[in-house]
Amino acid sequence: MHKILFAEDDPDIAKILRLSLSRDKTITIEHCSDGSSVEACALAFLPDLILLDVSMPVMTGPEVFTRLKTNANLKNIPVVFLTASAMRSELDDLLSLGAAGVIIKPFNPIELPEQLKVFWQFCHV
Amino acid sequence: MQFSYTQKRKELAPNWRMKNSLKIVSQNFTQPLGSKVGVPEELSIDRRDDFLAMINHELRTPLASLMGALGLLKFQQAGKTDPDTDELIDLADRSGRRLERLVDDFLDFTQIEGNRLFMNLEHVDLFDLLIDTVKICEGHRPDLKLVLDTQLDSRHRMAKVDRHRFGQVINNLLTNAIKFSQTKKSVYITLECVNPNDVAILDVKIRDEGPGISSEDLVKMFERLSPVRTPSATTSLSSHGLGLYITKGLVGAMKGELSIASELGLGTEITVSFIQVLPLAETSSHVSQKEIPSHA
Repeated sequence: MHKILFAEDDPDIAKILRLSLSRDKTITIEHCSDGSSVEACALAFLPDLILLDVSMPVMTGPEVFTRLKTNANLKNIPVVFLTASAMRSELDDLLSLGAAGVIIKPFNPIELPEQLKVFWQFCHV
Repeated sequence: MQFSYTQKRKELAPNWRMKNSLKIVSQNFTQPLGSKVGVPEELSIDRRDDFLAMINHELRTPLASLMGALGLLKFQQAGKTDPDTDELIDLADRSGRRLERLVDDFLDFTQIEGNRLFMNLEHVDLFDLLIDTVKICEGHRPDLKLVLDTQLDSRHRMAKVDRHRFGQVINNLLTNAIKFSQTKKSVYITLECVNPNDVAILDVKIRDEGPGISSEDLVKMFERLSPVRTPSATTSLSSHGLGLYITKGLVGAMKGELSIASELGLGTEITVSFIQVLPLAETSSHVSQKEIPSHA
């Protein structure tokens, strides 16, 4: 069983993510609608993987990522960024932070659960 | 669509000649930064790039919702709805994908305009990549019953390109050739080596038997967003120039050359050319590309 925490402020995309991930019965999900609540939610939920939208109000995805890496209980949880930017330079920047992967919007909701599992497996090899 | 593939080791198809054709050669792409995309003139270059990046981002966000919802709907309703509903869902999905491609094109356009196109240049087997790309395009417009005639010289096949972007170039050109072809015609794809005993150049040619382009319109082909109308008794075809403009930019960024020749009533041939390289295992670090001996 995989526990996935996703942070996405857009309610429509959050709905898509919820429907996409809940199709896979081996995945349990938790949702945060802004970056500032991710750390507290992650400490309570202890996910196996965190899916972070890059562009969020209050705290952006990279800011949340940096914050998580300073928390001893959360720093080893793989983080995958979700971004609407397809600029190669920005994707490289996100990966250079130490993210496990980057998924570009629009994403395939049917393939997303397996994609995240692959990222998780890769981190645990 | 019938896919015929022939691998000719010594002879290629007879040279195709057009009368009264106009050849326009585009060298390595350099494009002064312009302001013809609706961006206020007074913005600095950096702010303009930020503005365009923001537009790209804003377009992708609702597109993500749209494509996500359609993808889930299509999956959940497969086999459960009537054919008309299935067709409507397919139609919406196709339109969404088309919009997605336009947004991708817009991103490429902004990067080309800003001279910020990232290229991962590596030794690539163009022969294999062409075969794969042609197979992908086989499914385009089955109603036209086209023949994709592929003749590739397997002796000369390696070039230093960005694999993904080269595939994008060929896909763009092939899709265009198919789009402007008429029923039961052929589209020809060739790979040949020019100057094998000197600086060997690989020419990839894509030729259609479509209505062709007038010499006046040929000049406009490389301009941004330049619609070109082709004459036809039954349909009025138009092509927005964004695709070819992007293709030209990509080829230039890979240090290649793009040329186009066309004649009304005969068709159009587009050639992309790259310097041939040997496979990495056959090179040593001290040998430059120009010193590599050609194949016999």
